[in-house]
Amino acid sequence: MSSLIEVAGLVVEYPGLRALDQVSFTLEAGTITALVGPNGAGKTTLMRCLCGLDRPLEGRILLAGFDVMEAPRECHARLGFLPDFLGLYDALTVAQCLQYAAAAHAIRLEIPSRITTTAARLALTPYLSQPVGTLSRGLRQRVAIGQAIIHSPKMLILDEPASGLDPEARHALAQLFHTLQAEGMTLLVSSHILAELEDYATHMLILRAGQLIEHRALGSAPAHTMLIIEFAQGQPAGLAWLAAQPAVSELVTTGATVRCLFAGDAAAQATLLHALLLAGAGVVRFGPAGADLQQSYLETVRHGQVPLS
Amino acid sequence: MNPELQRQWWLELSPARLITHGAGLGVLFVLVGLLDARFGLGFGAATPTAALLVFVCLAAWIGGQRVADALLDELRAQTWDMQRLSALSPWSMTWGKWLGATTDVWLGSLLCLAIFLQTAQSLTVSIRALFALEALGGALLVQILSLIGALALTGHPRRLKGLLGGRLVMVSSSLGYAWLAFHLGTDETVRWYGQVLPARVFCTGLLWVALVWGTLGAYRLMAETLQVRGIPWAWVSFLLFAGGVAAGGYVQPEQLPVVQLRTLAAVVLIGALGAAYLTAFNLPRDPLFARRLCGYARASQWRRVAEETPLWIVALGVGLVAVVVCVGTAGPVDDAVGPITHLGLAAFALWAYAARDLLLLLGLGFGPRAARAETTAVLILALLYWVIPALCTLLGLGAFRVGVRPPVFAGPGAASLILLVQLAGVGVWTWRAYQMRMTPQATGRT
Repeated sequence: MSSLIEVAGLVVEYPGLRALDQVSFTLEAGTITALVGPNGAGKTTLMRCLCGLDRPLEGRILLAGFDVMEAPRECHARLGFLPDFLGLYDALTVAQCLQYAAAAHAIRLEIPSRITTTAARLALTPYLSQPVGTLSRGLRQRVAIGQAIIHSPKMLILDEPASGLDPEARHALAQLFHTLQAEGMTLLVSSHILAELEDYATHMLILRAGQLIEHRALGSAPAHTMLIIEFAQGQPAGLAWLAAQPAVSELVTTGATVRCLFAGDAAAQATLLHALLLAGAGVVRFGPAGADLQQSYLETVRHGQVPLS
Repeated sequence: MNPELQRQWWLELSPARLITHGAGLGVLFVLVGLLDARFGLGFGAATPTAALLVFVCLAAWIGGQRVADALLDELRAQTWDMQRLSALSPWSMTWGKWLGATTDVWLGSLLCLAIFLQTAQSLTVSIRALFALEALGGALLVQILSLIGALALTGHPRRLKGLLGGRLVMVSSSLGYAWLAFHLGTDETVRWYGQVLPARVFCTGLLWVALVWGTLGAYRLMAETLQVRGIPWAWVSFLLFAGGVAAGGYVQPEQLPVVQLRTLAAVVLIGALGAAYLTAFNLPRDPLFARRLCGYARASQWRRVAEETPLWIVALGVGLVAVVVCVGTAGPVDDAVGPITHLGLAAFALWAYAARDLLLLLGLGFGPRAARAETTAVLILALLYWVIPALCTLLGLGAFRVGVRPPVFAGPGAASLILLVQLAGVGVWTWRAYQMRMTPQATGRT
């Protein structure tokens, strides 16, 4: 896969505040990346910089080969953005909003067919002649997504796209993202609802306090795995042995159960288990704590805090 | 079709609105015509006057407000970022908003202008045409100034505060335009670079030239707002052009070339300093600009340095070049056209005053009350220029008065030295304020 976005050494400062600190990463074309991080991590700032809405102090962003700072309008023609505040014209009808969005992104010829297709994708066809201001929050969200995708951008950036949507609409949104990905679009999605991101994200990009903690494909082995190990009652020797291992950190003990971070792949985990048994520990349960996005995010963020605390 | 123009038409050009406005104007002019007939004024006396007044109200005042609102409404509705994300060019965005937001206003205004041209039978055709050109140019200029005012607000954190300023710009420029229309006689003349020209034609020409520069200014500001940056050649050209036009009143063909040159430089200096104050106080100031410029300079990105240097610094730079010319060509006094022809070292003192004031404003922008930097700067400058000198005079502290506000023309050398010391002091204070503001205290932002 070729890279669609290349970010190198991005630094964004506000007076007395470093919002992004030397952030560098590459987004491959055709991926869906979940942008996650705690409040204040710099997610919105990063997305605004990628869109050319905010200027970084240092660093470079290339979108499809165009420098966002040098050629913002060329980038905007290849970019769709859904801000958290939607940015809709309440006095215009849904059809007018979509028509304006298409024309403003240099679509000239096939605007009517694009309006029809986009409205059908987002189940907005019955509302095309209604003013946007009269629609519910969920429908407005869909119109805003329609505005962002009507020009078939190469890159789609969405800030909290599912907020305000009911479960059915969220499911439909996930399906839409899959379809867009299949069509070759690259998506960067920020959300606090990690379970929702798990439905469609292929990669995860974690920010904390303005720094990029981790960027990896979901399903690939994280640098650190959260392990759950349960010892037989009255086996403190195993616990002490485990704590002494250099690949093990962040031990949290609850009764006879230990949660810890382990630096190593599946083979290393097997070696660890074998060594534990050889050390005489009565292990009754051993394995990764969970592989879902929520767990993966928490593991990474927790681990990312270690060197800074 | 320009998408922004079409969007504005969707919003502004409803059939109901067009019918209402047309009917309103129709009723108004029928009533004025009846008044003419009833009081024996004869058709053509009150009607053309009313037509011009309604034109000014519609095209200049309401039109100016509409153009500003075309942008400010975007800010209020949080749709401006979406517009910034479109692929529309700055020029399409500029004229789409400008003419799109005022289309219905222009329909009514042009109707008024047609009524004026048809009914002002007491005026010759050429005078009527001149009136029409003044009216059109003046209204368009008010509208574009209003758009410039709104664009200047887009980067201000307290945007509503600026609404009053925008309205003031609109009203004052409308009044200036009305003064030109109603008080300048048709037989008056002006002397410009030794040429005697009809004043009314000259002013009308200037009005349209100002409109061209205003349009260019709005385009460049729009481009900057859309992150499309450029080297400020247009700004430098405007300062030189405006100085050149204004100098026409002082430069005479019989003067020596060196006197003409230093007179031109003096006028350019005064214009550039005025422009520096205007832009520094009104355009958004990015507190990180110095850091950006240093970063670009370290990376030898000189084009970026030129693109991101604030306009007020560019204006001060143009002023400094004019100072060099003024000082370098200083010569004997030419009393025929006043002190403007022999500023000499006083030119540097004037420049130093402006540099000190704007550095003070910059420093206040780094302080804890950055949002009120302009107001605080105005108060401090009022103290420095008027209150403290007046108190010193009252108390007989002449030397202290000179130290606070050194007289530029009475002793330009001493004034320059004193102002250099003041400039250095303000510079050190500004540098400290900058360092305190820029020291990262925490990371993280949503």
